[in-house]
Amino acid sequence: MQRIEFRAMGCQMLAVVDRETEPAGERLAQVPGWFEVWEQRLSRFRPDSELSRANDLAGTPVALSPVLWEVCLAALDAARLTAGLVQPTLLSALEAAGYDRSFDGLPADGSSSTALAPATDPQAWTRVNLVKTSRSLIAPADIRLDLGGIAKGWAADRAAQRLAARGPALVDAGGDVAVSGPMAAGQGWPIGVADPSSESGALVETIRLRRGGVATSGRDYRRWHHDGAWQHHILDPRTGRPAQTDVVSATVVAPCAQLAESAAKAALILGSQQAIPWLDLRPHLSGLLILEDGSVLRSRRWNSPQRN
Amino acid sequence: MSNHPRSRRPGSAAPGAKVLLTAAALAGTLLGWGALARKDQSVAALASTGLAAELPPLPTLVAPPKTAGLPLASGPSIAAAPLRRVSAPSSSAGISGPVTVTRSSR
Repeated sequence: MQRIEFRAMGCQMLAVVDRETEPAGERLAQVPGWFEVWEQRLSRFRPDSELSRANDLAGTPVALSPVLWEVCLAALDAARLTAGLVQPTLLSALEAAGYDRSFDGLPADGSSSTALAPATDPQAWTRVNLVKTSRSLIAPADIRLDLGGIAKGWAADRAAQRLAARGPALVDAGGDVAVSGPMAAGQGWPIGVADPSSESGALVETIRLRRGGVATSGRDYRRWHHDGAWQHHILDPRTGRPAQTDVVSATVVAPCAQLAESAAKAALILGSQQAIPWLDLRPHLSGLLILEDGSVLRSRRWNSPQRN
Repeated sequence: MSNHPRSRRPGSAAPGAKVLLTAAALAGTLLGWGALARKDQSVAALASTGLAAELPPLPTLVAPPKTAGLPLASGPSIAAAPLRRVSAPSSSAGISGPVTVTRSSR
């Protein structure tokens, strides 16, 4: 087994190939370069990124690169899956909530002085159009896109897919994990689910993932002090504010990491009472929720045997 | 009267000459063997006094040396390749804990 760790997209990244060959190691060494290219396309924190330029041109059609096109498509798919709970149109609200720079660049005390914005339009994503024939984006002038969460899931999926030609692969993009298939010995990849209340890195449990992705959305880490209260980065589009929910951390297993990331975010926003039925209604999803009181809830298919 | 020179018939020489030559050759052979025998006796005498160690070894068939257990000569030093950031911590069969942990983005 060979592995490489690096930072990209404001997160710690890990890529693993379960094969000892030289070609596998060489391919693995290319992964940070892939992420750098993708970040240059997709980051809202880089003024010269393709996404930032597209946001500057909001209101007019913009031709997109294949990478930005794919991630925008994935973002709108996520919005459809979650009925708009997860959508890429919340950049202005995120900035208004204080998340106006890379998380690494926020003040050490977590404070931010940006004024809160009024509630956003929960249907804003329906006004974003992607034109397949010209591979172009047409967004209203008042909408700027943020692809942060979906971009990491997409990158994990794509990197695992590229590595798979050299051996069974796992890519962890800041907690959004994609695997290309079973490990070399045939079993699923052992992946821990972090306990958000633990300072020492304790796990709630360890799952075995044979294919697809797993992602966790939480309000335990990316938070900051703003306007007299702690804020976090999971916004509820219905209010434009950080979601008020009893779920501290939601982990979802899905056919791919980008889908797992979107579903985990939706489950957190929904709260435990609605999230478990929402997951149970979708055969391709299973989830584990950790609540404020420390209790753990699992959806019906969480221990699905085909996952192990 | 005839004046023809007298021809000497082959083999008409004194038979003693042939015997003399044969005896001389035999004597020479015996003397040679005797000299060699005296030289071997001198080498043996030197060996008994320890002086033979200074002489070059006589070519002979000997058993090959026993090499088992001897330390190997170190080969030429090989410069280490530049370290790669890729690491190989373990085989998948020996994994005891999770390969990674899913948590909120950090």
